[in-house]
Amino acid sequence: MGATFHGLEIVKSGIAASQIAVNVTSQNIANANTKGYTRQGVVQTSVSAGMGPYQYARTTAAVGQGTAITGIAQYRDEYLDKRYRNANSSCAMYATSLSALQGVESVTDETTTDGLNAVLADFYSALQNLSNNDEEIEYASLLRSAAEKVCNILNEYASQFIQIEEELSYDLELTVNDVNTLVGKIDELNRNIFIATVNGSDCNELKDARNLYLDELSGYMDITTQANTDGTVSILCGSAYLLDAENGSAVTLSLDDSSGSLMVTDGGGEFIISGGAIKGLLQSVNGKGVYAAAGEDTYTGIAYYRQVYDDLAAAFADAFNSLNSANGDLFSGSTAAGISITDEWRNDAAFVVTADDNTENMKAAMDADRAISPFFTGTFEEFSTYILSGLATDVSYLKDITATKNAILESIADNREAISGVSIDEESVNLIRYQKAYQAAARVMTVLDEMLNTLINYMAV
Amino acid sequence: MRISDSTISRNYITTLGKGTDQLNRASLKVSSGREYQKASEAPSTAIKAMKLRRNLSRIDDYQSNIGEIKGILTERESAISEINDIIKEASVDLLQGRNGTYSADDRAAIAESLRSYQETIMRLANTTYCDEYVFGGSNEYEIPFTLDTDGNLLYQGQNVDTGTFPAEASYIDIGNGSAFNISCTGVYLLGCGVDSDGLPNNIYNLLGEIVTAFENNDLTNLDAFSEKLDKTAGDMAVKYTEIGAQSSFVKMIGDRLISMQSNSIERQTELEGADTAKAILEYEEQSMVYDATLAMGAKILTQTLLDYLK
Repeated sequence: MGATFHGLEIVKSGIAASQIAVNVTSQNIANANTKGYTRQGVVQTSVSAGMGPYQYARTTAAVGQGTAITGIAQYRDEYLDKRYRNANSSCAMYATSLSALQGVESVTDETTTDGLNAVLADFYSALQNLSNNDEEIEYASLLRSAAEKVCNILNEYASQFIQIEEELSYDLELTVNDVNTLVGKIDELNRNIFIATVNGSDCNELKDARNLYLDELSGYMDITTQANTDGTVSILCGSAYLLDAENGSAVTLSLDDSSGSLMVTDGGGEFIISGGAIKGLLQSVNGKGVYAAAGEDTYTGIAYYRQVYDDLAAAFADAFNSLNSANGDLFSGSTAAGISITDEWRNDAAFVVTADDNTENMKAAMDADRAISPFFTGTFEEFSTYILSGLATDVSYLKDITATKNAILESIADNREAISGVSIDEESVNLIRYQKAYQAAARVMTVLDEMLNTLINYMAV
Repeated sequence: MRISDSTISRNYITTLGKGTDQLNRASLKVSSGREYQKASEAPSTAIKAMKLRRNLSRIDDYQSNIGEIKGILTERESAISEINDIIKEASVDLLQGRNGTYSADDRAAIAESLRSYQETIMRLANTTYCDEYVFGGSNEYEIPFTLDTDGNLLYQGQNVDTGTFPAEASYIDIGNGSAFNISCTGVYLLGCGVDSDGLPNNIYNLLGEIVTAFENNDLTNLDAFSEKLDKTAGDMAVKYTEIGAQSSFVKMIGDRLISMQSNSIERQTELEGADTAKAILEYEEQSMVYDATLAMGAKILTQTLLDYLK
């Protein structure tokens, strides 16, 4: 026969368990909108009858000893975390590259505004007019101002590109600092989690914070995580450790532009990053496209666009200078940033040679195919259109792929939240469930009380 | 699949963002009348449109060239027509002067009027259009016909009777790789050199000789003069028709350019312009979707089981 107050002990454990369960439910509801919060649930087990000395010699059936909450668990799938972080880093890479190229597009696009193509067409018209009216100074000065416009547009493009490049480099610097801070925070959390785990705590909130930082980090670079048995997490980028939790070593990243192009170093050498916003920013700054030598970035980035307009400026200046050799150079400078009309021409519009149908030759030069860059042969206007068409195609491709990557990321986030997210409806149901259990346990208490009353006050009186 | 509250709100915000973006695009399409705002929204169309713009700007140039050519030709045509008329007048005067009843004084009066014809011809031959001499050959900025101190007619500084005058050319681009020779070697119009009878081919000099004959009351060469003058009149008429042919050629090219231009503009509108009716319809559709999204958000985001618990 069981002990007299055994029933009270059982019901007490039930009441306590319901209370904890209600508290966990309130924690879930309270954090329904907390970023990175993982839904928690009680791990509840029934307590067996116990391992007394008579367990093999019982004459009556043994009743269990109530219930116990053995832990507060998180609903989380680490595989989905891994997929989410992969998708996040590739999504961020494309989105960053897209926004850099959109910057270039907003400088050069001529769909609704006039740009290089328009001023080249003006220059051609001015040549046409001068060729019809060879000796009239007005037309020569119109040609000069058209040429100045061509130079100004090229200068403007070059300075805008430099500005975009500076912004990207500045972003990179901030991002690299962010990465270092995040790695530091994760390192700190690792230590706290290790201590808490040793003390037997679940430390769910610390894990949530760490996961949130890892998610954030995955937007900056391609990372993989490695869960260690002591509860800590190590971070790898490619095959290199960013944070080696077991050996307690973390890498501090910094930017280096000593080799002519920007790169991320870990103090010793290049730290190779092939995903995330950092990769997107790096390739947008360094990408030389078809100009890339062996080992250089073949992405079509700002470096490429600076080079093509430099080539255009050099070819343009060269073509017209050689046609004006009788008087001297019309243009000075051979880069988009440096091209301008010469002082001689600025001081005298008639400096341009018009004798012997030279303006006809200049017009022909505008229409002649020439090797403007090592990768393009055609007219100046065709080259300008060629650059814009490449840009439009790249931006359009990046837009599409960013949208696709985003959709993938969203669907993984959906899957992740299907497991980890808080549903208020569900929690309300749980709340009622635990409340009913609590009420029922309390009711049991009343019954037991009445039974004891019967036993003590009415038996054998 | 288990749906949590944050899934609903996150997905809702994504959908709302997409809806707003599409609404914005649709409204931009209506307000700008353009199918796309950036080349990257329609790369292949944008590139075609860029090439079209280049063509259009060339066509504009050619059209302004054609306008210039037309102006010069018109000026030339009227000058030649006037010279023609003067030669006819001179023929009549010459006929009158041959009349045996005319006295030396009468002939001197005719000589006087012939001299004024000479001056008029010289003035007409030096006609300008926008400061350019239309009969100046390729040297259109310098006065072509001048007189030296002895009263000899010079063309570009050379005596018209004795000088050698190569054909001059000065081309204006009229598109499709063709160029129009706008220069008219003035000395070919008025004539140069002397014929086998020793008479000047130049109309000014011929009139000069007639004037001298009348002033001296010398009638010996009048038949030869009359014949020469008729021949010159015939040559001038040929020049006049030539100019007519040139004008009609230029007009034909001009018309072709206009049709090319309107074709290109039509094609440009096709490529870049938004179909207004379609764009408005699209806008209406998008704004309906947007309204529906908002209305739906108001419903799903506030309702939880808690709203029904008492």
